[in-house]
Amino acid sequence: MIDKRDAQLSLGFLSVSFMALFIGAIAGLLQTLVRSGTIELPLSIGYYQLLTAHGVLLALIFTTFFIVGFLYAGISKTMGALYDVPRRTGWLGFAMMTFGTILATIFILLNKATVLYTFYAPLQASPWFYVALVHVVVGSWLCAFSMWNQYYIWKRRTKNKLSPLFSYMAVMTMALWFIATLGVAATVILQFIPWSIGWVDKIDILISRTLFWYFGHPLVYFWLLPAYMCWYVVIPKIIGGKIFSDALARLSFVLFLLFSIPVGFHHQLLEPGISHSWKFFQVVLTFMVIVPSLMTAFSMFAVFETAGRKKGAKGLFGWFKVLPWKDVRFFAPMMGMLIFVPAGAGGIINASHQLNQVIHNTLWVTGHFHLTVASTVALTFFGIAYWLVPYLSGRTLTPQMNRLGIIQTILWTVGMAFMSGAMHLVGLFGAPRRTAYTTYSDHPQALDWVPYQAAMAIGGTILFIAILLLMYIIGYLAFKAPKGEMDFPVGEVEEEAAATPVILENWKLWVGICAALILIAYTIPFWHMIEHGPPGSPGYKFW
Amino acid sequence: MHIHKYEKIWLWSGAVCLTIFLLIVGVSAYAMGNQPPSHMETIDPKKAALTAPFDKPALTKIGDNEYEAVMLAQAFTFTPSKMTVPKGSTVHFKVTSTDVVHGFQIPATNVNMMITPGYVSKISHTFDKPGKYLILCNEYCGVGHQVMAVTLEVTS
Amino acid sequence: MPQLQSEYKEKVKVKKEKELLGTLLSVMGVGLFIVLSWAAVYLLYLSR
Ligand code: HEM
Ligand SMILES: [Cu+2]
Ligand SMILES: [Cu+2]
Repeated sequence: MIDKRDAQLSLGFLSVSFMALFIGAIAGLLQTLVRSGTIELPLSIGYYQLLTAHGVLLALIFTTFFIVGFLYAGISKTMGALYDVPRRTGWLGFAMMTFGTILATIFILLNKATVLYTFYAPLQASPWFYVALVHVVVGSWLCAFSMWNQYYIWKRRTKNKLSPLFSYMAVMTMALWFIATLGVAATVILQFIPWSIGWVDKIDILISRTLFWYFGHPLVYFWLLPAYMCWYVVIPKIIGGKIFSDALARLSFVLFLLFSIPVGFHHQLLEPGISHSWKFFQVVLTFMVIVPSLMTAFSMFAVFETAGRKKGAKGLFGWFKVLPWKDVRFFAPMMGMLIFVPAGAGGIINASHQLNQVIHNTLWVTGHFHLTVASTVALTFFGIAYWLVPYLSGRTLTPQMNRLGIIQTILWTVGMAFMSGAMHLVGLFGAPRRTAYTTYSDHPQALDWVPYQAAMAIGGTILFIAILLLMYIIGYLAFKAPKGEMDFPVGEVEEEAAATPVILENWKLWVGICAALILIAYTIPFWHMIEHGPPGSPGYKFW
Repeated sequence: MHIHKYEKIWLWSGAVCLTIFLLIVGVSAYAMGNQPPSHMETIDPKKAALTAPFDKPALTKIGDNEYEAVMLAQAFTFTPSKMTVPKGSTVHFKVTSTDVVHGFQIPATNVNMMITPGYVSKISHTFDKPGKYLILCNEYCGVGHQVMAVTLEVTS
Repeated sequence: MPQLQSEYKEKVKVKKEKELLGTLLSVMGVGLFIVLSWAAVYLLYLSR
């Protein structure tokens, strides 16, 4: 067991995370039902209001709170109990983030912020919505500072050249997050807040979009890296194997830091005001960030094969069968990994310059990120929660809960196959995302989309049942399960693996290169936007 | 750093594939002109509806089988709202917004672009098949976003 | 002694390289899936 006070800090984050997941999932279910034409929303709740709640609570709150909670637990496990200052800073961060979450939720429910979670200008929400977002972001910065502080003190006290793999990855993840959120903080604080209060009457739209997407792409890696931490560090232990290579694991995280930020234009490929050469340049950088994921794929299969062979598996693929399929701590993240194959393929298509014209802003994109964040990442997080929650609350994962967890994973996978599969297909036909039920005056093309939207509703219903089951399991594990000692699985490195080069822990070097790449990819086009930008826009409240 | 031989094979084949993808889209973009819409012309969004040519949004014939469609996007419609061209026509769309960000998409074609207030967005397409094409907004623009669509008829 | 060690290392290496053939085939399968789906959407783009 880690220090009780650290366990509480981690549990604090996890509980907000799961509450957000539950509310967000209710919105998700209703969205699929509306879009299939099955129901109309009562009480003058709007589709877009629900969609705002869904996006904010799931993409921003569920993920960030879970990640911070998981990282604190792992840091305390691998570097020892948090020192006083980092722990106190952590609670301060928690308070700020939770305050921001509640404030944002209130303003969404009041219908004063129906701008979706990307809050594109010049749709203008209440200033309090933006103030709420700043609290979430700055609160998460405090958590980042606190984790770095822990790492710094730990290094000074232990005089170790290399930090434990988990902690290294945690520090890297928060570094990525901090550098990325500078962009969104800049646009919210310098542009949206003064403009929504009325201190200035115009906003430069392209600059705000560019700052948003400077943040928006690394955001998806901020979700993914903690899942990779589970795959690299936790999974080997669970399956009775060893970490394939400590050095390669760290190298892949370095590459994520370097290449996941200067690529935001791949979300702006179809918009005016950015020259196609800069777009293409960022597309090339986007393709670089695929490489560390290829490395990860190899590492994972190698861990599986090596562990299987040690257990005596024979033949080319015998090792696949001896994996612990009946252990939900493995099964849920493993399904997440398998789903990452189509998810990653879709991502490469999305980023392929003019191919983006086929899928941009269609339901294909929604289908895509329900595979990445809502399946690969979410299933891995569920798999983590099944052991982490009882571990932190001094209880155990019972065989019965393990079985329910497996059923939950299957339900999620099947539900998502329906929902995301239908979204991908109908997106290729051209059905737009972020659009309430419509047949465009019974246009034949739009009528063809309706059956797919019905399939989305079937999938959404199965997913919602899976969420109910998840809530039951998590509640049971937190409050009811028998007391006992659980294991926090942390893998060990293969004996023959080569030593890890210390240069991988040279933060000045990597952050320096990261900053240089950002400057190269953004300075000229950004300067052009400022210099040649059109007059700004006033705010609109079209909901 | 030691890298397993098979991992080297895997990473090299991955790198080669990714390079081929990039070459294909790069050649198609730079040698064949299939760039994603990236027009740089600006306009004052508040005066867009008063600025030529957007003061008279219309479909104009500019050559053999060639048309220019000057269009305004505003919550929650496009102007002009009905257009007709004969089969085989190439239409050059030129669109700007008077209010918020909109999308401009013709399903089942490659016509797909963002309409950012303050900028003029352009895209061209040749309509080889007759039919009633939907032009719809695919970026959330407010409570009526789902009705924002017009049609373009291609006659045979 | 050092010679023995390097010999031992060689052995380990050779043995390990053999052991990961399943891994190589699996990731190549993943790669094939990616190439095929990319090509499919590229053809769709060309056909439109
Ligand atoms: C019960 C499970 C879920 C269901 C039924 C569901 C369903 C949906 C639907 C129908 C949409 C909107 C489609 C549209 O009109 O564009 C949507 C959007 C979205 N979902 Fe989910 N979803 C679920 C879980 C999740 C999870 C777990 C996450 C993230 C961790 C997530 C993240 C998102 C995001 C970011 C959007 C985009 C919002 C936007 O376009 O502004 N969803 N979801
Ligand atoms: Cu991205
Ligand atoms: Cu719209």
